[in-house]
Amino acid sequence: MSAIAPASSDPHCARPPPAPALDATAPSDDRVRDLLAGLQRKYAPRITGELTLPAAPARFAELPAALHPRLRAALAARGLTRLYAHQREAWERVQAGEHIVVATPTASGKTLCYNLPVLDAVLTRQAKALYLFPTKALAQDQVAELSALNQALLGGAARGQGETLGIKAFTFDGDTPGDARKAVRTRGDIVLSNPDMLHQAILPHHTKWAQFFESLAFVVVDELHGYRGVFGSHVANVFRRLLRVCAFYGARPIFIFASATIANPAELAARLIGAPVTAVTDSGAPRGERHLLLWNPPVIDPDLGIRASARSQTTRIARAATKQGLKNIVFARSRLMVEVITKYLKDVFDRDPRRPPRVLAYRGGYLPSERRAGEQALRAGRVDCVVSTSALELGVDIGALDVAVLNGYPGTIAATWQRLGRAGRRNRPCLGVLVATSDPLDQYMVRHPEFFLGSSPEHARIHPDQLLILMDHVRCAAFELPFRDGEGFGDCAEDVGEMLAYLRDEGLLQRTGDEGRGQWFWVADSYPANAVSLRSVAEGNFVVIDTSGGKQTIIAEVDYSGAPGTVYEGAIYMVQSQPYQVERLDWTGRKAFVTRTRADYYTDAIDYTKLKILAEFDRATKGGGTSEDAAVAHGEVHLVRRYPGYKKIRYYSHDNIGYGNIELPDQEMHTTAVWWQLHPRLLERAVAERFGSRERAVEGFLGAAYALHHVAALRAMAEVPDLGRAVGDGQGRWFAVVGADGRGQLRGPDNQPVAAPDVMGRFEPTLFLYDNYPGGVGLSAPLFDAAAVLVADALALVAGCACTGGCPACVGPILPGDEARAQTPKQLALAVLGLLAGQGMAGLGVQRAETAQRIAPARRADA
Amino acid sequence: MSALRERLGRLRGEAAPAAVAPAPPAAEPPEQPSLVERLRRLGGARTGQPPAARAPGAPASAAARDAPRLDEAVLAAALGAEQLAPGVLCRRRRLPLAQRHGNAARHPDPDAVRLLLPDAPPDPDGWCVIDTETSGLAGGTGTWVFMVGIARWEGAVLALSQLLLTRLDAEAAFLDHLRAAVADAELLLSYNGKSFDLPLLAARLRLAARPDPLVRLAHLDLLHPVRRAFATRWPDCRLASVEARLLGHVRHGDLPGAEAPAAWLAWLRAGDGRRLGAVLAHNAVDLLSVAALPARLAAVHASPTDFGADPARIARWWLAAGDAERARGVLGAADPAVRDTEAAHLLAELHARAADWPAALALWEPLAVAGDAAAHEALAKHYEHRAKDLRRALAHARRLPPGAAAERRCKRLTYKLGREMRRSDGGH
Repeated sequence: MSAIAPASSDPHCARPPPAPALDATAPSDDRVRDLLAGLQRKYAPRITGELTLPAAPARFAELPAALHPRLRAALAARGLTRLYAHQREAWERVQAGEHIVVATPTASGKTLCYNLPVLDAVLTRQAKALYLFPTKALAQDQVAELSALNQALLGGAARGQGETLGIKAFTFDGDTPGDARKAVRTRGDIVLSNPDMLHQAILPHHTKWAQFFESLAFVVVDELHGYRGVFGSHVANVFRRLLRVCAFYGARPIFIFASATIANPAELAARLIGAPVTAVTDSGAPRGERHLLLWNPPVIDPDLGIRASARSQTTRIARAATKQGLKNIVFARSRLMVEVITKYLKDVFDRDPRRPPRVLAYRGGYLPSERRAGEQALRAGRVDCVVSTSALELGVDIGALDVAVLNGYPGTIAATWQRLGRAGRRNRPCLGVLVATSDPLDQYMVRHPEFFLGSSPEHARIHPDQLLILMDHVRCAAFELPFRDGEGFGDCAEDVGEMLAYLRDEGLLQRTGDEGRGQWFWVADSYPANAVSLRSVAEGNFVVIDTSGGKQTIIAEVDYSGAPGTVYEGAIYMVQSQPYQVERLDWTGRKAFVTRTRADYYTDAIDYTKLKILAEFDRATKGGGTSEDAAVAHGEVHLVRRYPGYKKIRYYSHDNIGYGNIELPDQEMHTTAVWWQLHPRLLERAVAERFGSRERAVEGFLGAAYALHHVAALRAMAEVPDLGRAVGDGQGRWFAVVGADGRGQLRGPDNQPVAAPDVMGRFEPTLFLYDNYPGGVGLSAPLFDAAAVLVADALALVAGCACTGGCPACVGPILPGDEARAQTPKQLALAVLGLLAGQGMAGLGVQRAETAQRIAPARRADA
Repeated sequence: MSALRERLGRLRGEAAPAAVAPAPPAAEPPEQPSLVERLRRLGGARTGQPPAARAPGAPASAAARDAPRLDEAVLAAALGAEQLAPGVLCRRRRLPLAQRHGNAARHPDPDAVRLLLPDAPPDPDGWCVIDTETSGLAGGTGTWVFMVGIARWEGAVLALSQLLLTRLDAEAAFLDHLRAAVADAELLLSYNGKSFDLPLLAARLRLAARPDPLVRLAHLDLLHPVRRAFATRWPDCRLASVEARLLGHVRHGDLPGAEAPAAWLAWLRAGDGRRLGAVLAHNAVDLLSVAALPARLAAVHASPTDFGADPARIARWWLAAGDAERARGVLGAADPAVRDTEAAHLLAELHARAADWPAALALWEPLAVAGDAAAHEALAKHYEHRAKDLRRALAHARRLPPGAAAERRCKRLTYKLGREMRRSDGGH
C-alpha cells in the first residue's frame, strides 16, 4: 500500500478519489450536465421530481496547535496541513470531554474526525481506543487506513526520521486466530471490532482485557445510523454493560460516533450510551453541484396499473452514463438483480473479452479476495460501471463516482441519501437517479417527490428498555460483574432489583450480604451471551436447509416470528429469486428442509390475526367530539395468529391455482399497537349512505390497512415486516379477511365465516398496525404521534395511484374484473381513509377530487 | 427523555413514571403486574428453569431466598477442615512419601522434572502441585474457582492444602490465602493448568483486584507430555485415564468431575455440604496423580515402547531437544513388527542424516514394497543423486502418486537415462 497519497487527492478524506477517466473528451462537469439535459429532454414524463443542490466551497480550519508533532508530520507527509471546519470542531469538542456524533455527508472526512483525537491521545498519553464497525470488512478497511497513516513518515518526504508512528491497530473478530488474540488484547492501541464480538467475546472475558480497559479513552462507533430498531436496542444494552466494565477498571471513555444523515443523530447516540452527545453536522468539506431525479417507469397497462420494469429503466440510464464516459454505480436491492443488470450492461460494454471489463458486479456472497480486487479496480478508476447491493452502501473505499442509479427505493430516506452519496466528486457536479419499482413504497415516494425531497431523513429509534432485550443483557451483565444492591443499569428505567430477584429465582444468581449492602453473584454453569443474538428479540431462529442433491446446506435463516408464514410445508421459499420448496418443517428443531424447484408459482400464507386490546395508553379524536369522530389510540394488545393454509399464485398472471393446508400451532404474542376506529353512528351512516353494506365497509378497512401499513413503515424507518396489520373488532370476536373471491369477509373466533349483521353488539371495525416483535420494540408510540400524517399519506398514496380500481401499489392486489365493480376496492379504501382522516360524511362525496387536487404533484407521472 | 419514560410507563400500565432508583427487592408488593407476570406474557424469558415454585399469594421474603445462613463450623468439622476466615475452609493432610500412589512413587524426582522442563528449578521445596475445582466449564468471568488444592513436598511428606470457598462474598479472602500458600513457590505442576486452571484463577484475581502470583512461575503442565506420548495411542488423555493406564491407580467411588459444580451449588443454595467431602477426595487424588506423574513420564520418554507410547513423537521431541542419539535409540528399541510407518520413516531419516545408507535403505525398502509413497520418493532421490542408479530411481519415481512433481522427476530421469544410454552407445 502506498503511504503517500497522490498529489491530486484530498488528504482530508481517508479515501482519495480515483484518477480522472483517461478517455474523457470533455470535462466531466459538462458531461454530467449533458447527460442530465438529455434525460430531461427525452424522458420528461418519467421524471416525477427533481432536486438540485448547489455546490459548496470548502471551509478550512488550522490544525490544532496542541497536536502531537509526529502526528502533524505524518499528516503533512500525506499532504494534509489544515482541516475542514467540522473536523476541527470535532477535535475541540472531544478535547472538551464531550461525546460527539459526526453526521456529515458521505466523503466529507468523517474518519479523520475520530482518528485525529484518538491518534493524538495514543501518542501523547498511551491511550487506547475501541473502534466498532457493523461488519468485519469495514474494520479491515480501517486498519489499512490507519496503517497507511502510521507509515506515512516512512516515505521520507517529511522531516521525520523514517519511523512509523508506532501505533498498533488490530482487528478482533471471529477470524482472529486464537494465538493472536493475546497480542491484540495486551498490545493493541486501537482494537477494531464489532458489537457482536464485544457482546459475546470481549465483555464476558473482560478480565483478559484488563490492561486494555484500564487505558480505554475512546470508543468509536462508525455507521451509527445502522444502530436502530432491535439491533440498536441490543447495542444500547451492550454499551450499558461496557460502561459498567469500564467503571470497574476506572475508565470513562469518550464516545465518538460517525453517522450518515439521519434526523436525530445526537438523540440516537445519546440513547445508545445514556449520556448527552453533541452533534457535529456542519460539514466544511467542499461539495460539487448535486442533481437528483425521481424516475417512474412508464405505465404499460393502465387498467391494472402495470408499469415497465424498473430494471429496464435503470439499465438504460446506466448505459447512457457509461457511454458518456461517466463513472457510475447502480444499486439493486437483491443479489440476483445485481447479476441481471450486470449481464445486461456487460452485453453492451464488455463484449470484447480481450479488453479489461468496464462493468463490475459487487455484492455479498463473493469471496473476500474477489471483492478486494473489485474495490481496487474501482479506486484505480479502471471500471466505468459498478452494480452493487447495499454492500457498497457502507463505507467501503471505492473512490467517488459521477452518477448513482438506484434500482428501487432502498426503504429509507437515510439509506437513499447514503447510496446517492456514492456519486459526487469534490468540485464537480454529480447526478443521482432513483428509479421506482411497483412496490407501494416506491410508488408513494416517486409520486410524492415533496415527501422525499422536502422532508428530512427518518428518525432512527431504539427501545433499550424492551423487557426481553433488557433481561437478556441484565443477565449478561450479572455474569460479567456482580451487581450491588441499589446499582442501576445505565439509564434503564426498570427496577433492576426486581430483575435480579427474578434471575435469582431462576437459579442464575445468588444474593449475599445484609439488606442494602448485598451483592448478586452469578452462580450458574452457563455463558449467557451465547444465547443472545443482537439481531433478534425472540430466540430460536429457523434455519433453511437445502437438501437438493443429497447434501445439506444452510441457505438462509428465518426469524422465529416470521417462520410460520414463510417456511410452512409446501411453501415456496425464495432465496435471491431462486425458488425452493419446503419439504419438511421441524418446528421444535427450528429447521426447514427445502429443495430447489422450478415452480411457476409462489405461495402466500393465509393468516388470520385476532387482536384483543388489553390496555389503552392514549387516545386522540378527530372531529371535535361529535358523532363525526374518528379516533386513534395505542396500547397493549394480545395477538393470536393462525395459519390455516396457503394459496398458490402463478407468476405474472397472479391467478390463484390452488390451496394447501398448514398444520401449525397458533402463534401468540403480546405487543403494542396503534389502532383507528370510527364512531359507530358515523359508520352506520356511512354504511347506509356510502358503502351499502358492512362487507363493503370492511373491504374499505382492509384496503386502508394495506396502504397505512406501507406508509407507516416509511415513517417509522422500519421494514414492512417489522409491522403487522389487522382489521377486527378489538375484542377478538371477529376479524376481517379478503376472501378467495376478493370480497371482504368477517370471521369468528374459530375462523368460521360470520355475517356482518349477526355480529353481536356494535359494529365497530378497528384497524390495527402492530409492532411485530414480542413485547414491541417501540414502533407503535411514534406511529400514534404521527397518526394524522399517516392517514394523510395513505390517502395521498391511494388517490395518487395510477391504477383504476386498486393494485399492489396502493390497496393491495385485486382480482381481475374488480376494477369494473360499482365500487372498486380503491374507492372503498379511499372512503374509509377519508373518514379516518376526520373528514366526516362531508368528505365522502368530494373525496377523490379534493384529495387528488391537494396532493397532485406539479408533474404527474405519465399524465 | 421524560416523554420516553412516560411512554414506557404507559406501556406497562403504570400510573406514574417509574422511579429511577431501584427499590430494595420485594420491599413492597407491586401494584402493577409483576415482572414475572410481564415476562410470562411476553412468552417467557430466554433461559433456564421456570421460576421456583412457591405457594400462591405467599410472597417469599427476600431473605428467605437469599443465601441461606450456613453453619461453616459444622461443615468444617464434617470435612475435617479448619476455618481460616469466614467463608474460607482449608483441609490439610500430610501424606508420607513412603506410600505409593497406585504403583508409582510419591517422591519428588528433580531429574524427571528437569527432563520435561529443562529450566525448572531443581529444589523440590519450591515445587507446587495445583489443581482447581470450578463452578463449571463455560469460562468467562461468571465461572468460579471454589476449590484450590495444593500439594508441596516437605521433607518426608507430601503436604496437601485444599482451600474451599464456602461463601461467595469471601472470595477475596479465599484468594489471599491462596496467594499466601504459593508465595514461596517457584514451579507449578498441573494437569491442563495452563489453559484451564490458571486463566480462571487469573480472572478471579483480577475481579478481586489482587495481583496474580501464579503467572510468573515456571509451569510444567503434564498434559502436554502425556498428549505427546499417548494422543495417538489412547482414546483420551483425561487424568483418570492416565492414572489407570500409567500409574496403576483406579479410583473407587470417585465423584465425577462434572458433578463438582452441583455439589458446591447444593451447599451454597441449601446448605447441603454432604457431597463436598467427595469433591475434596477427588481433588486430592488429582493432586497425588500429578505429583507422581513426572517420574513415570520420564520413564515413558526414555523408553516409550515399554509403555505403549508413540515412539515417533517421542523421538521428535528428543530431536528437538538436540539429542539425536536418544531419538535413534528410542526408535531403534521399538520392535520392527509393531513400529509404525511414521517411526520407520523417522528412523530412516535419522540414519540418512548420519549417512548410514544401508540402515536407511533397510527401512525404506520394505516400506516401498508395501506401497508407501514417501518411501518411493526417498528411494528415487537416493538412487538418482547418491547411488546414481537411474533405472532404479525411475522405477521408484514411476510409483509416485501422480502430480506435477512426480511427472517432472520421471521426465528428468527418462531424459538422463536416454542421455546415458546414448553416451554408452556412442562409446561402442
